[in-house]
Parts: sequence; C-alpha cells; structure tokens
Amino acid sequence: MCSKKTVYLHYAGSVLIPVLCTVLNLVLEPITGRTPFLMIYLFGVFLVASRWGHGVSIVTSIFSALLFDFCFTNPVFSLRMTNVEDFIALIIMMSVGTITSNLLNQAQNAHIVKAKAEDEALRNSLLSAISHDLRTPLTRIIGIATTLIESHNHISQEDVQEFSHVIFDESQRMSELMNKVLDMAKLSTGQIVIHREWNTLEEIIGSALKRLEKELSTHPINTHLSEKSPLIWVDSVLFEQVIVNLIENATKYTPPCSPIDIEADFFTHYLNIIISDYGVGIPHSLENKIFDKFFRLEHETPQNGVGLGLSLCRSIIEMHGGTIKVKQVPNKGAVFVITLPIIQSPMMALEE
Amino acid sequence: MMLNNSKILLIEDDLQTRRFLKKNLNARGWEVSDTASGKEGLILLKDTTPNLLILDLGLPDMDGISLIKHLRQFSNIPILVLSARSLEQSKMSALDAGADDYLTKPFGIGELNSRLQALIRRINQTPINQDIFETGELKIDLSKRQVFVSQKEIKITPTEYHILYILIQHAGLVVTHRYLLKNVWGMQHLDNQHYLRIYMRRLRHKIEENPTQPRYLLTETGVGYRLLNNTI
Repeated sequence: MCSKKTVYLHYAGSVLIPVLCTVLNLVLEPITGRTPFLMIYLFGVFLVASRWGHGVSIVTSIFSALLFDFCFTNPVFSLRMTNVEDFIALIIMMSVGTITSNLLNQAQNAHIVKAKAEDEALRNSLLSAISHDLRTPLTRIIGIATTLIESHNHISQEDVQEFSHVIFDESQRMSELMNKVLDMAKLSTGQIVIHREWNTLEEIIGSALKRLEKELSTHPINTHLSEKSPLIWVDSVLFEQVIVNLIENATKYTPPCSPIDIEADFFTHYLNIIISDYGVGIPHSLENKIFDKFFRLEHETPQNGVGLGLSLCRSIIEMHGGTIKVKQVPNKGAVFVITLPIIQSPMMALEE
Repeated sequence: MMLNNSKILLIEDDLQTRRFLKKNLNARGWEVSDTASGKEGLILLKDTTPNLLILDLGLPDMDGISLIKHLRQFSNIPILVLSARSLEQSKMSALDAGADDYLTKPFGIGELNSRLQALIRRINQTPINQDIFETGELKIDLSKRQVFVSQKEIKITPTEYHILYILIQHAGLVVTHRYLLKNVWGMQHLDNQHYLRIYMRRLRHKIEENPTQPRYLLTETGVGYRLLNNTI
C-alpha cells in the first residue's frame, strides 16, 4: 500500500514529532511549569498513531519517553530516574500511547473489513439476481427453440405463433434487465455524465408513458400537471428513466385496472412529483430499504425484476440534487414523492 | 408504397442480424446488397447505386459517424442508422452528420418497416408539394397555413406553424432539437433549448387531446421530435 519512501518518511516523522514536543515543552516551561509535558507528548503519539498507524506510533512513544526522561526528570540530561512519580508517569504515557494506537488500528481494520464485506455482499446479490433473472427467460427461450428445432414440422401454426410470442416477451424482459444492470454499473462507477437541459415535466412524463404503452394498457393513468409549470433543469434521458421505473413498479404491484396517479406541485424553491397507486403499498418498516440495491420483497417472482429500479431512481434523483421518499397516504397504495430544487429558468420573448 | 427498382444497402457487422434483416427486406420486395465492412460498403454504394442505406454505427473497421460524413460529400441517399441503446450522443452525432433517422437495438421488424416507409415517403414526394397534410384527426392546409383538429380550426402563431411545418417536411422521421432551433430561431439560438420546450408544450396543448399522452407530436428523449405519420 505504502511505498518504501513513504514508510521512511513516516519513521522520520515519528522521531521528529517527539523532538518538536520537547521544544514546545521547553518553551512552555517558564509559563506553565511541568504539568502539561506528558500531555503534549501523548498528543504527539496520538497524532502519529492516527495518521501513520500502529508500528510508527510505538517508535514515537518510546522516543517521547526517552526524551522526557532525558530532558525533564531528575537528574536532567541523563536517562537515570530518581523520582518514582516520573517513572510512573512515563509508564502510563507509554501504555496510553500503545493502547490508543492499537485501538485506532483496530477501528481502521474494522472499517476496511466492513467495506469489503459490503462489496462482497453487493457482488453476491448482483450475481444471484442476474443469474436467477436471466436463467428464467433463457430456460423458456432455449426450451421453445429446441422444441421448434426438434418438431420437424409436427407442430401447429398456432403453437408456432404462441411460442414466438413467448420468445419475444422473454427476450424483451432480458433486454430490460440488462439495461438496468448496465445503468447501475455506469452510475456506480461514475461513468454517466449528467447532461442537464431545460425541459418540461409534461414532455418527460409523456415520453415515459409512451414507453410504457404496453404495460399501461391495463392501468388507467391520471395526470395532474399545471400547464404553466416552470421548466425543470434535468437530464431528460435519466429523468425519464426514473418516471418509467416508478410507473412500471406501480403496474407490476397493483391488480389490472387499478389506476395510477401522477401529480406535480410547484412551490417557490422546489417541486414535488408524486406518483402513486392503489395497491397494497409499502410497509412503513421498508420505506428506506426498498431503495437499496437488489432489495426485493420475499414473495417476488422473477417477473417483478431484479431490485435495481428504485435504487437507480434514488441515484439519479440525488445526482439532480433532489430526494425521493415513500409517503404513507390514507386510501392509497405506494406513494413516491420526488422533490427537486427549482432553478430559475431563463426568460424568453414569447410572441403575441 | 414502394420505389421502382428499390435497392437497399445494408452495412452491419453481425451476420445473424444481417440475415434476418435481409430476409425481411427481401420479403417486402427490396433488393438487398449487404456487407459487414464500412470500406466495402462505400464501394458497394458506388457500384450498386442503392435507394436507401441501413448502417450499423458500431462497425469493426470504420467509425459509423465518419462514414456518414464521408459519404454525405457525394451522396444524398437516405440513411437509417442502427445504434445501441443509451448512446444518445452517438445518435445525435449521426443525425447531425447527415443520417435521416435511427433505430435503437434491439428493435422489432415492425419498427424497422415504419421507419423505412417514412424514408421512402421522403424520397418519393415531399409532402410539402401537397396542399394538405393529414395524420389522424390532425389536418394542415399548407397553402393557407391553417391547422385543423377534428375539423375545427386551431389558432396558431407563426413560430408554432414554423415548427409544425418543419416536422411535416420530415413526417414520420426524427427531427433533432438542433435542427429545429437552427431553422426556426437561427444559428445564434442553438443553446436556447428552452424556446423549443416552451413552444412544443404550447403546440401540444393546442393540437393534442391529452398533452401528457401525445398522439402526434412524439418526443424522442434527448434527441428531438417526431411527427406521427399514419398516412403511409
């Protein structure tokens, strides 16, 4: 991790810092007396332990002890010690220094271990989600394709039609899944550059609804957007994806014919976009969890997706300086509220 | 609607994609020449004089955008670009370089056919030469500059008409934000995206029954607009 050169520098520092502490003590002695000396050395040890780690800090603590003994204990300018109090103080200082650096070291290690575990957990859920969600459609496609290959024309035209539709639907599902995984990968590795422009919310919602035409054939949509609403400063492609994911979820988790509401409320400095359905809703205890990567409700079937949709929504909304939250509203199912800061839109001279 | 001696040049490096495209195009009466390489494509373009070009942007031997730029120096051939999803920027560059429309992979054959029809319509006759443009319940009398929705005349401003006029010229095809801004407001307003957004909203409120679910003025997110053309 550290180059050899840096290590040498750290050890040089571990010797230099006690020397600096000694100088400071010598300067302070006429003003404060000897009381804060040990504290100042301890501070040096603590500093080294917190910045450069355990090993280096032990050198500092030993060197500090020697300097303290040499410069400030009787007899001065000798490593001999006659005063028992000085001896005890020295032992305490060394112990505290060692214990502190040990503790810091452990805390740092624990942090690294935890981060590694989180990474590992994420990777595992990614693998299991993808393999599970890709395997189901692939099983169907391969099954049907081999049926068609082996059938040697002993198969009715109707069956061929039906099979073709299944192949189409399953490939479509795989394609969507792949898009989500790719988007997530790009977002989490910082590969997506946000491309903000002035947009109308109406247009973004319109194209999201257009993309979901098929899913929405069984769900009526009620939109309440003000015609005179201000322009919003967003990346239209990413923002449309947020709206698509939220509406898509509503179609997946509510029974057919159950309506979906889309509203927008504009305030002076922010706007709320509210997308709600009339399904079973989201339990209070899961309000935050559902935005985690790969979080899925236990009873979910592969049709319901990989558990990336909402996590993507949150990442995208946060890139725009906004928030997305679940709200509990009586007589409604899942209610998602997106809050975005309003940025003053440029003026233009309109005709008539 | 077909062209006489309708010939398509297909430049696509994936063999299976090329095969299924060719089968479909042949079934619809197109004569297809195809290649996996951009360089060979340029040669075929001169040798076979096709009426239409389908070009995959991700070719192994040549950058699709430079290919478009190069061939635009000597050819007016309508170009339909095939591109991977989530590359809005490359779609835009292709359109700016002179491509006429794009299809995002993976696509269904229905989408391909409707794009091709729109392109053929452009080759055969620009609707501009007609007096009336009609799609669904929307009717525009181009000689009198009148717009009707379900037989009722709609009051429309000169700028709104101008936008609509450009979209009609490209009916069924995508028109980029940049193209609209340049032709309606001029080069110096290319960055004023908000002009277009505001006017498009107003147009939709006048023309569409439900502006949040437009039937005619369709959005190509991050790229531009497309006027639905169901007369073809």
